[in-house]
Amino acid sequence: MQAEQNIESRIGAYWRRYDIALVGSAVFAFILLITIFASAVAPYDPMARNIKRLIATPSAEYAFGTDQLGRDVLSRVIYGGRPILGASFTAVLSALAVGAIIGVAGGYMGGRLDTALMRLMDVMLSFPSILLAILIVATLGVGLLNVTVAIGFAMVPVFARLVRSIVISLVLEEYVVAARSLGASDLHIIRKHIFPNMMPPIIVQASAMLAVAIGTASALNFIGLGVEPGTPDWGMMVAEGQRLIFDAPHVPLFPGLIITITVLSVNYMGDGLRDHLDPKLRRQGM
Amino acid sequence: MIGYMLKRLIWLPIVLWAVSSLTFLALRIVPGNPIQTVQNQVMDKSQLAQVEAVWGLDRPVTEQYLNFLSKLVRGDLGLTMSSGVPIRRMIFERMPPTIELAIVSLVISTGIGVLSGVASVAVRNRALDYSVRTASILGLSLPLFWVGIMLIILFSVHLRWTPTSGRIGVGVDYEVITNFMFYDLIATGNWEAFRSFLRHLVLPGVTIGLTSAGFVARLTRSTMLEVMNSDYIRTARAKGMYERSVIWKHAMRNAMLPIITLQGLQFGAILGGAVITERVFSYPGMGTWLLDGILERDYSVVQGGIIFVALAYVLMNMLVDMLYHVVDPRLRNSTT
Amino acid sequence: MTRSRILCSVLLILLLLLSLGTGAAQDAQYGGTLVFGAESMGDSFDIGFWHGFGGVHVIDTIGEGLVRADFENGGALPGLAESWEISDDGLVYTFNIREGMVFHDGEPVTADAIVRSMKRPINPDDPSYIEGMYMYGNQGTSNWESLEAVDDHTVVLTLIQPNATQLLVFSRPDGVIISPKALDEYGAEVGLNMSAAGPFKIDRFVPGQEAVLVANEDYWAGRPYVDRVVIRAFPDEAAILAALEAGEIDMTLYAPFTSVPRLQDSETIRVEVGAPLVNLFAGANVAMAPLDNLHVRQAINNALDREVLIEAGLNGFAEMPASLIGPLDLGFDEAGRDVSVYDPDSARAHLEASGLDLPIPLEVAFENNRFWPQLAELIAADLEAVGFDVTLDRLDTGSFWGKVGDGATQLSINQRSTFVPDPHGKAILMARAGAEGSQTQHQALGAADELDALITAGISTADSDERAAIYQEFQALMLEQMPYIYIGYLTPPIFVNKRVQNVETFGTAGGRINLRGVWLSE
Repeated sequence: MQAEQNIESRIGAYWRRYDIALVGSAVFAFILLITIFASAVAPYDPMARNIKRLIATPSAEYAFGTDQLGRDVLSRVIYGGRPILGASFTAVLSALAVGAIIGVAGGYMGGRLDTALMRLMDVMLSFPSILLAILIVATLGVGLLNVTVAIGFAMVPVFARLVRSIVISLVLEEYVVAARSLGASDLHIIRKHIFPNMMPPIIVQASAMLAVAIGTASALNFIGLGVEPGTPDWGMMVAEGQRLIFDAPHVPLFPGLIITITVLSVNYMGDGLRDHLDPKLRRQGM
Repeated sequence: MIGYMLKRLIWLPIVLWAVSSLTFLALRIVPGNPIQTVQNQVMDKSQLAQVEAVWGLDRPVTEQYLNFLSKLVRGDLGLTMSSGVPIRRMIFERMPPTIELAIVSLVISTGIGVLSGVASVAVRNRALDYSVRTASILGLSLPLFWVGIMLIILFSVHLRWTPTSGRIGVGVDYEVITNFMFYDLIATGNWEAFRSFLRHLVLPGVTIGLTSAGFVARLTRSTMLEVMNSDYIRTARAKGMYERSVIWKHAMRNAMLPIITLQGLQFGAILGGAVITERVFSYPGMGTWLLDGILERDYSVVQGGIIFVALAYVLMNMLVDMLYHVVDPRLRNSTT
Repeated sequence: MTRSRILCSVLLILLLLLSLGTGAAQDAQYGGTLVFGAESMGDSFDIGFWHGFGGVHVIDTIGEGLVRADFENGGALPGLAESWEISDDGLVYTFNIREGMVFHDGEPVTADAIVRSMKRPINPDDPSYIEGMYMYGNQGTSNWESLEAVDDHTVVLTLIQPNATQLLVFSRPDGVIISPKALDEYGAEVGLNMSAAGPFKIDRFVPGQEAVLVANEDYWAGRPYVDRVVIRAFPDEAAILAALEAGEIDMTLYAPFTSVPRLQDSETIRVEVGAPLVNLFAGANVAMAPLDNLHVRQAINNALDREVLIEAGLNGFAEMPASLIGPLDLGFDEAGRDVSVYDPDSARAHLEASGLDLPIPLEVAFENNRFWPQLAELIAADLEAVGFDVTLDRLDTGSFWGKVGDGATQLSINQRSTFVPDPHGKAILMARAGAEGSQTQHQALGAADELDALITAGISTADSDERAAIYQEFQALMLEQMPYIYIGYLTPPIFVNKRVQNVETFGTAGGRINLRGVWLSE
């Protein structure tokens, strides 16, 4: 009896601490499922045109209306997460991986290597990231992979600097100094002491950068340097629909909404994960 | 500290050299060249060849590069390839509007960001905390072209409070001195033009300001939380220090450093990266100019423009470092 | 009797109202500021360079050449020259310059001044000479034997070979005459300080942003109605629409076509339809497989459902296509309308006859702005329906022309505007000299030399009936060889505030606005 109550209260406490993170996770899981099983869920072929129903407003037949080429907006929204989410996640994760290597190398080793790496990051940062992305896509051509590369490339210095600053502060912590003086190998210290403490801030930064990545992907589409035209893709739909905002607001509205909901849910998830992982915060029950 | 600054100054030309070389290289890799872009206007092959020769595009890339560097060292940025206008003249036209836009949006984002960040920490109200967090993530995720056009529809088309586009009203007379209107219009006491100028700056400033306010609010919130949970604040509290004083004196002071860093970076990013906002508001800044330069393959525009953006970025970073030393007394005595 | 009397009086009243209405509408008013929304604004107005259509709009509004173009009926209208004679051999042009005209800076427009300005691109000693002023290439200077001012008001141009388009190219933006004082004073920066002799003059210019133009009180044909014209750049389509609806701009060509149905019901905005002066087409790279195969090109021609392309891709703003020459051009041949048709069965038959394995892979290149992506998607669907496997190649402006210039595109869609009302402007796309840099790479075409000969004959023949016959032959050969596949003649919507009256819809449709006769009612 008492044990039951205990469990209930623990679940209650857990819920109170992570309510919005849990809701975020559930929403994101739902969006992911729909995206993965798009072909089973979508009412129409996202590419099928109905020339007689161009930019039709939402109705029973087309829940989200049709776009400028008579395609079902709902089906396109359902399919449209694949490219942009794939590109954004891949870009952020690869930028994080590369940035972490650079940041740890520079922050842990210090000295000339650190200076050189950071100046390199300065050069990259002093190049406006959106222009860098535009140049990369203009060079490689439009397409999902190239968009991914362009977004990821511009994010590397952001992660590198963040990781470096964390590593530098950790290197001076007593337990790391102690481990070093005891002769622990660098790899061991990085794995055991640096890495776990690096994660919480990085998760938060990464979930924020995902928002930036999705925004950049939409912006590239807006400039005409995104995915192939016709591809059902949220960013592309918002960008192409922007010119219809006066005449058929539903065309850009629904993909815009789903982008916002996705980014919000990922960020709440990230915040919750940070709280859960951060030993300091866990101790305080904050 | 002066020694440190000098050290940074030595890096300046090296960073600029690296940036301009990378730009040069990137432009030569991008398919298409400035002459082909206007080719639909010119039919004769021999004329094309002649124009290519004039711009030195028929020379080997290494020779073009050395030529470019030697001119750069002498401060000669050349003419725009598409229009034949000196680059320095275009920088004079394009740089001041963007700097003004950057300043206004930084003021807006710092104001909104810090206030909402502090509010979410100070007012112990989950609903408020969540709405600030939600709004700040929204700011990050909403596409700029979307926010911009929404603001235009609401404030310009429906309410008619602000103009939709441009830098100053149609038919407003003014004198250009530095092309910084904050200076020119005040110096000439032209208040009518100044009002028109401010009205044009509001919406683009808010568009960028709102999106970066999200960053600022998140940062303010997290650093302040960290400080307020730190041991010394808890000690201070235990000793009966007022909550207001905890927030503004201690937590805020510590939160200021990362905010200054962030805003310094943001300033640099806006200088060349306000592409979308400038485009939606037809604002004559560096971003749209560089974007057009890239799309039309105007090598001299992109090369010349990026150097200025990079220069402004590096200088801004140094300024941030100096501010660091002013704000944080602990750093004042060390030389890092 | 009563009935007919009532009818009579109703009719009379109607007639009266009608005449009142039209009477009021015809009373042109002076004054006001007209704001024109352009897609871009140049960084200079140096006519030796291309500054996008925004720059062309400004130059057309402030400039005047020896002649002006009559986009409605074809041919030239008097400009700075009030009349001209062309010798029978077509080699000597004598222009009689109107007396008493002045440039915007007050300099008199003399024959000497005109010759000086026209010789700018071929006189490296001129202080305003800039190497690489490519736009002047359109003036045909390499064919000039001599250009002289015989007296204060007579300019004589002697050609090496006859050139039927020589007169009309003087109406191009690069044919604008610039004040000698401005050329001396500003030298290479004259583009930032243009002084010409057109109906408006520059009051203020913010490069890349806007040009403020004021009425030229001394314009030879009389001061224009509008006091002031502001041409401002709006790179974003939705923003231009917002500005139009907010009443900030009075006229534009660059709002999205999709808004037309709603704007037609608007209280403040009117939509006029432009003349069919812009030809939309797909160029086939005949030097590369599979488009080196005539059957494949013919299959593409029959695969395109133009009605759908025009309805869904261009919101109905185009006429059905015929050939490379436009319906208002000299020698236009209606017969092309029966060739450029949708016939999927015939398309499949052609693919069968091509001997290639289906589906045939095909790359379709296009620019990433305006209606091109939408049009490309529809074209891809049509092509896939008959047996192609289409890859869409969406390129930014620089990459598109770079790829075209390198002969690396297969099928590429774009357009040809009418800068001067003469068929040569479109026919020159097939000139042998530019073939290697063109989208069709027609040096590989069996009939390349034959086409080139027709183009040469087209400009070296003076008699217009003979010219018409030559261009008809040219069109027939083009439809037989099919290096271009035609999509339609764009009839672009011209968006104006209802207060804007007397809009010229011909030159405007081709991108050459004419604000001489426009006035504002209020």
